[in-house]
Amino acid sequence: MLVLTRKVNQSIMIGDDIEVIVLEVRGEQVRLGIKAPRSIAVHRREIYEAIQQENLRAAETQPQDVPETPPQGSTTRSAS
Amino acid sequence: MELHTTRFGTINIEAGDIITFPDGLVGLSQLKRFVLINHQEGSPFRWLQSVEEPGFALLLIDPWFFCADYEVVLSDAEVERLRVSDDSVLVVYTTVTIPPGKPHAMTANLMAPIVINATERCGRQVILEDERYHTRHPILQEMWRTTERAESAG
Repeated sequence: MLVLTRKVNQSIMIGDDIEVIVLEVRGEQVRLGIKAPRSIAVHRREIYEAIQQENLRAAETQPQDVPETPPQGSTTRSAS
Repeated sequence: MELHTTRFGTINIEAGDIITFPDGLVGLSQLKRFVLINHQEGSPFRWLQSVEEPGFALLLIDPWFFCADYEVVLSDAEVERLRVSDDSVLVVYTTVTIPPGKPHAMTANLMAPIVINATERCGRQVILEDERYHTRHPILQEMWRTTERAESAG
């Protein structure tokens, strides 16, 4: 891993078009600004990992566990 | 063409049935091509079956079926990536997880819906930066919540 020391308002470039700027440091919290092309998705790692994990968990679902009749919800009730 | 799947056996699909996810699913970027399979006649559930991986399929449901006040806000970047134009037909699903043998415990991932541009046959799993939504909403509880709200309002 490359480790760099930066001060507030300083930034790093990743390639030609991604810039990560240190906006604020307050105790243990660091605010970062990210300038990247629209084609690059930027997300917090824990969110990305939670979704990946849920996708894998969801892919374990088997057809025999899917309820045959739809659960009775608001749509059905208001129609009756 | 024939598509072999572990859940549904060998099924016949047309090339035009395939929906391309250029970036794959979140954390599963290698899975880029899928087909939609109806679970059963009259069922609100559908399956997003991988074309590349016979054992990979996600159960889907229309999120507004159980969460009437669900909101999906697409960023300009997402709109661009989904190649949305004026006459695009967009379809939104959420993935459903059913723990083995426990259908009552089924949950939906409202944080990362599957958005499909039916016109362009392309799709994305969109990450919503909305603190109301997480990856495991109990579907039955969501239904009761929105039903109660509708009844107390009416």
